[in-house]
Amino acid sequence: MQVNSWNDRSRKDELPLPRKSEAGFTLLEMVVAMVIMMVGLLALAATIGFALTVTNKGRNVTNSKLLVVSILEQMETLRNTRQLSFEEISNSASPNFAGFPNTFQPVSVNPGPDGIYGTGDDLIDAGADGIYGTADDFSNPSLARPGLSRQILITPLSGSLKKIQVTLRASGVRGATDESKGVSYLNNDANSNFLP
Amino acid sequence: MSSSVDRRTQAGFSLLEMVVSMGIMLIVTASVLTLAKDAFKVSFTAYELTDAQESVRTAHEYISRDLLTAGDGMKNINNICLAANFVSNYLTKNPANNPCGAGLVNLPLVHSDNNVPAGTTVLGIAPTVSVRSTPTATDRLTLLQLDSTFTPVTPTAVTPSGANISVAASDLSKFAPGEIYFILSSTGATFGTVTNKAGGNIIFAASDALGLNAPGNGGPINLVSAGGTLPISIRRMRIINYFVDQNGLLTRRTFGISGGVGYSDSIIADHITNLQIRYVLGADEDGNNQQPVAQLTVDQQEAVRQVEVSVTVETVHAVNKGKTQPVTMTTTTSVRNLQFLEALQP
Repeated sequence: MQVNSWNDRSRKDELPLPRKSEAGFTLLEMVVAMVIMMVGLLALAATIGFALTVTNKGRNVTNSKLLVVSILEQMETLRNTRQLSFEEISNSASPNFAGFPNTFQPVSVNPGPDGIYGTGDDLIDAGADGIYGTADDFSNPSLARPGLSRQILITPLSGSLKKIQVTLRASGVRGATDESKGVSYLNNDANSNFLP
Repeated sequence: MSSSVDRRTQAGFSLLEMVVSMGIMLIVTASVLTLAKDAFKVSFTAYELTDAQESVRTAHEYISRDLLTAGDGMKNINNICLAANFVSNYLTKNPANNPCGAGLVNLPLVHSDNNVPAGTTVLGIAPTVSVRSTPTATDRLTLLQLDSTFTPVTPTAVTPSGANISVAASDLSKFAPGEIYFILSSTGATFGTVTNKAGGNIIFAASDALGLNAPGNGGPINLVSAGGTLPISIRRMRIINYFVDQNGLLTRRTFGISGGVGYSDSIIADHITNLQIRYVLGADEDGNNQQPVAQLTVDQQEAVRQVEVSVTVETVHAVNKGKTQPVTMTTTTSVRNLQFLEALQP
């Protein structure tokens, strides 16, 4: 069997090619082409991985939005039921209510002794007796929804209107933090939803 | 190629070149196929999860919408009494045990049924299905809504013992047998199924298909109309009941629709593995704040402020090591239309 080197084959006197168009691809050309193709396919595979990340992110966003809306709904409830006065719905403390902390708080399953979500006491567990204010109350970190924290910022815009901004942080993929923000406005008319 | 050309003059690939190139080709193809297999798996998972997420969103949207409007148009209506059998057969295994009378129970505007026991049959579906109880027991939710498209009818007379309600001739055509109506007075309210129409009367006879009617002196119509002495009004009201059946279908059953057998089912979402509902309460009678509960007592019914709904959906197909993947989402909705009783007090 004769093995031709690249140079041998290119010598016209030994291997005359009848037509230029019949010259096939060289091995080098094939290798280069396949490498390019592989790079392309790898990029394509990476795109699919990216798509999965985006889908996961989308699901987290939906989840976050629901938890943001929960707080905005609660503000409406607090006002309508007059559980808190319009003045008390604030980041600062008032005589009967400690106020909503303006820092990120863990998202608790329960509202704590004050019955209001998003306050500093949400993680307090009533203990074995199930009654708040007794000696066996303790801070129970397992009440927090894992990987989530929430901030409530309340800005008075006028004497009768407040801006409520809720930000939810969720730990996302590869240690990143995803933030979802929701803004709502609250007036001091507890009857606004109802016909007289 | 012409056969007259000498074959040896044509430079093809040598065998070695072919072996090398085919070897490389094989390696490349194998790795590409492995990648493609993973890529297909990933894209399949992404598709399945997105699909499951959409189901959760739809479920939340429907339930939230109903919670927002629950109790709308029902100002000053309280003390709704229903046949206990109907309530325990169709709505909840945990009725509010506040009997309006023998065989009757109270139905609040929003009512719970925490962790329905295994084997609880959903009546009126063939073949028979139960409320989902595996892998975990699921909750049911019942709420009331006024149908504002129906103009209230004021009857001319009531004969509670026979449960005959006389209405003006012009109103008679509004009623059809099988339909469920809401009968209310200043003292309370109840539901009844029209069984017949005769001689200017709409008749709520015993043994209707749903077990809702209880004519006679101890019956709810007698109670509501105080023996026929109090003026009553007839409206159309919907009882909306959410449940998950054993096949994972989240169903919204509406009683009190126009026409038909009195109720209809709509499938809201499928592959639901869990539906958990908690009720966020206001302060109790002593002014103490209460924690969210999964089952409402009679005293707590008035204190419901928000409802926390948690829906879990599994992917339709197995996506991870032969297992389906669950997707759970939770939100809280303010039942703002239940609050008018307090909010509107000066």
